[in-house]
Amino acid sequence: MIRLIPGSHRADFPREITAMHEIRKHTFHDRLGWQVKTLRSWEIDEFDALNPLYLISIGPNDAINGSLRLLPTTGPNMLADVFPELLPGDLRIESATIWESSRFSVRQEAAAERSENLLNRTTGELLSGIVEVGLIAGLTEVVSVYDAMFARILKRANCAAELIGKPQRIGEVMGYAALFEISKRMLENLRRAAGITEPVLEQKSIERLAAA
Amino acid sequence: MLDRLFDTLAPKLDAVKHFEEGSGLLLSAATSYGLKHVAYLGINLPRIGRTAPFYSATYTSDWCKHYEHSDYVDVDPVVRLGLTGLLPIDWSSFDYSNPLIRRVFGEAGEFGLGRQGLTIPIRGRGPEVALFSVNSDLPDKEWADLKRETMRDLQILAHYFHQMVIRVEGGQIPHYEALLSRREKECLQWAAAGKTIWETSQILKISERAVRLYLDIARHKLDCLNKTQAVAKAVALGIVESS
Repeated sequence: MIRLIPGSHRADFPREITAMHEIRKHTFHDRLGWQVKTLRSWEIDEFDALNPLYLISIGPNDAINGSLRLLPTTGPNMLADVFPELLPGDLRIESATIWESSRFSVRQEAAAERSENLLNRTTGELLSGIVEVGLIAGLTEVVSVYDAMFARILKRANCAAELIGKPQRIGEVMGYAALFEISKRMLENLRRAAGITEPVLEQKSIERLAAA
Repeated sequence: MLDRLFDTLAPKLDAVKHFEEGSGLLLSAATSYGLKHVAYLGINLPRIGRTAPFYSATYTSDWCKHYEHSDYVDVDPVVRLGLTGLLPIDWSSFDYSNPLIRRVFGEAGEFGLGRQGLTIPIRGRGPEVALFSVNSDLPDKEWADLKRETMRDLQILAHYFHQMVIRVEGGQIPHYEALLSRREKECLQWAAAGKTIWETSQILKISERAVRLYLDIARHKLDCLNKTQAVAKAVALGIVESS
């Protein structure tokens, strides 16, 4: 299940927010070796101050298994302001119907979970969550930076995102900028690949946010 | 559905010199598509040289005065959620057990606002934030259909309106040609020559999605509602040649 937490509501969700920053530090600082800012056990940056929309994957027993954050490309975002070299030449993505997903991370235990599906549960939930949010918000695409391993996972799940620009080394891994289509078809493919049969967004989250 | 609206409006909107003229055109046209009112609120807008919020709506002046005198901006859940949030907000999902919220929306109805409402939050590169709201008296089913079918168009319309406020009120016409990248100009050029997305992708040896992306970004940068308008504007400005 995906809990939606707008940055402005972070104080109401201390457990989710703490776990998210810790998983992010473990993923990006410890494992991928990205040059990210850390604050004790947290990874946190200036984009967290811009009230992004957080998608938090909550498993059985309320375990917090992973997260990502969304920001509109009409405002400051990582691809435009941190990784512009990932985009070809003079491309600058700025559109009312394209948002950016960043800091996609899954708790190691959840990522290692054995499954018969192509996508593990948490990855499938987070990706389906992006598409469900995108359909609510009327988006055409979500743009994101990810590594080669993730690109392979998506391709295997028949949810290939379209690479834009040339891959570049970020820390220990190659970073790719890619466009991820927001459509019902994409949602169906993701659900099939992850063995998900129903919407992943938590109903209470939607009501709390009064999302259309 | 809004496609037709955009096609009718686009040429007229390009000629707009004053904000009232542009907002009048948009708002009166929107009402013919099942929307009763349209409203815009912008805060910290660049180039406008004032810090007060910029407000424009088709609501009656009586409602605007009443809203202001009653300090409803302090309790209005649209403003509270919208200025920090990202997702479109449907007014039906507010907590109507709260007597203050019930009062604001009850009185809004008496002053002629539709019973259905939707607000789209807008964020810009700087500190500016804005809200674009539409409301309607459509029955629940039709309202749900309208939202589903037009959310994309409403996002584009909301951001278009926001850019128009900054452009017209700020009194600065952007140097459009300098804003566009080489690829964006190439895609516009081939569109102006009547090439389809697929043909353009073959000519430029890039994917169809990339062509769509470049055209969409060019549309956004040129302050246009759709591709047709963007191509016409690029030709009119001499950025690409007509054929």
